[in-house]
Amino acid sequence: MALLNAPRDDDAAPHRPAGAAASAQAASALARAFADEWGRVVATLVRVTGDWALAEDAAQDAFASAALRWERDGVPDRPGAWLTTTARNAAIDRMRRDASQQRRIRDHAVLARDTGEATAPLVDVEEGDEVQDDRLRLVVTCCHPALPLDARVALTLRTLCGLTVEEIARAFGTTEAAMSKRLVRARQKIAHARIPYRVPRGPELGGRLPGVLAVLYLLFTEGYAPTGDAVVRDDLTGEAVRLTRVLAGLVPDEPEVHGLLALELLHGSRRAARATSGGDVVPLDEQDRSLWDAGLVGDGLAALGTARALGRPAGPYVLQAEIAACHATAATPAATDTGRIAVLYDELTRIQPTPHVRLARVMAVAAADGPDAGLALLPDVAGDLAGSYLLPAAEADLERRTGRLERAADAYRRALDLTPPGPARRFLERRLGEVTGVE
Amino acid sequence: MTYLMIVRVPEDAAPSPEESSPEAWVEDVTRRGIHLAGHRLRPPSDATCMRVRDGEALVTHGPFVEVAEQIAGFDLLRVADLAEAIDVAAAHPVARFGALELRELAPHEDDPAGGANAVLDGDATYLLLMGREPGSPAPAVEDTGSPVAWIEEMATRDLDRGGSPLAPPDGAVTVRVRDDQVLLTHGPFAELAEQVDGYNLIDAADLDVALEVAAAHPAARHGVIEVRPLWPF
Repeated sequence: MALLNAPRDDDAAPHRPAGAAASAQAASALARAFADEWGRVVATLVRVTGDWALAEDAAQDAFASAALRWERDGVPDRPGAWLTTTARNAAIDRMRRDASQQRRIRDHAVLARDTGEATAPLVDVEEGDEVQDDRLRLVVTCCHPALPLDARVALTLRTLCGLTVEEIARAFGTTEAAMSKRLVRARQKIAHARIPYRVPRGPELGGRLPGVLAVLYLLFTEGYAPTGDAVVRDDLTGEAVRLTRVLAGLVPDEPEVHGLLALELLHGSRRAARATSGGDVVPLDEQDRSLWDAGLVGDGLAALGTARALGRPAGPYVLQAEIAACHATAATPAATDTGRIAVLYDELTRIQPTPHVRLARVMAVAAADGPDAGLALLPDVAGDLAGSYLLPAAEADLERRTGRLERAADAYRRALDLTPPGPARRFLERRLGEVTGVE
Repeated sequence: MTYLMIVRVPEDAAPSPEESSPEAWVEDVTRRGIHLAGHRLRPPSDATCMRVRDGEALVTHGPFVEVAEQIAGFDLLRVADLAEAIDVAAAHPVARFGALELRELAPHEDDPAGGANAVLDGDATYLLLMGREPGSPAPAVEDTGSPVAWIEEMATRDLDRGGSPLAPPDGAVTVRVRDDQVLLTHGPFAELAEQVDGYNLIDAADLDVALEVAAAHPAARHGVIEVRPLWPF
């Protein structure tokens, strides 16, 4: 969880009137508030001030002030409302301090009066429906297709999750300066190109949701299968799940949102079984299923049930969640309903025929009808995956399953020629060792 | 003759304000009555592209092609002939470090206004640049579709602030001034075939409106429309 930059009270001063217990209570309330409220506070402040950088700074101010005051005065009854009000006041202070901002305050008041909209005034920030809407506004705006994809993800992490620029830079393997520039440019584009801070209505929202879901899924996969050396990055997967849950609450009638949540929870349930302590990948059929998190499986199946109950044709996330559910509910690899998985992949290939999906379908057919059936289909996907290690790696795995170990070894070697260092490479090296009898 | 003068500035140019300020130039062309309109554009990083393929609107970040000399602004000139247009362009301060591409307007033949709508009254907020996919040939006229219905709808919604198709890029002239020498390049700008086929100014309240308007234009179906916010006065 992204608590790294939650203002913490590391002050070891001896004069703590409330005592250590109250201090611990305040710290945990603050940590919880940061996870639950950061996005809400920023979302409201963006609406009220129209200034993204100011909104983030003011939210930061509010959490810093909570770190000092909650311990001293006790945790407020409604931490979210307290933080929003404090952030609003901090924003006003910051605007006042900057004399050049005076005009903007006036303009804003004028604008509010002229348009007669409730977008307005720097007063009357309360919890409730309006605040809920603000967060949806924020995520829809962060994920606007007019922003570059990497900036959408970064902006979502910064504004909705409260990750620091340094944390986001680390997550994407870039420097803090480069990430900071990317965020500044994204905020500038929002301001200058006038990307509206608004939730589109009806069908237009439906048109924008796939883009929002794609960003959340990218966030999840970046955490679950990072491009770097780590096998899992819990902070990113955790943020993705949290945001998807929030989104599911905000647009409860969209099956794909529940489908994505289910997919994330079901994948996430295998987290402990997916890697060895040494950081090596463990394939699905070799995982110790007792390590799967039954609670998350249950939550994932429940989310999938919600999606199904909406009674609409399954979209790509619901279908992938259905596939994940087939695995999650099988007590052993042999008990897996491979026939159903192959059918689900046929359907997924029909609506989302990307090279990766098509390759996964081939592997699903192989699991259901035998490795030779898969090998027969491999040439169909070869063109799209030329140059990727995935193709020879798939061939190697299928040959291994047929028992033709020499052919498997040859394919593993071809795959390794194309695989960059990292967990995938170590996995293929291990397999090559197995089929050639070299440990 | 009416020319669209596309102002192109190298990305790494860092001219002093005195070197690049077009104030005196604007004053001069306004006094001479040949300046119909002019706008500075927000940088390419604020641009968004719209394509419509198989009925689906595809939105992407950035200008429609990255080239060394990016479009930074434009002016509309009503001049006697190309020679006058070249003189006027050569006098523009950007000619000394950037480039000015002159493109004659070529109003659509079924445009009821017959080209009188190069620029309309009222504040514009975005420029739509109708571009061709880099490397692709000009579409046949019968494939492009008539923008007349679009123009009518934009007029009804009071969003249209003027626009026009441009004459084919073979007739384009690019003006640069280096060491006090006027350098002319005939033909389309650069080999990259970054080609603007038309433009339209609109007064849209925000980017979503501008993108919706761009998606409705027939040019989005075969080419690309870059939506660039104007620099406010």
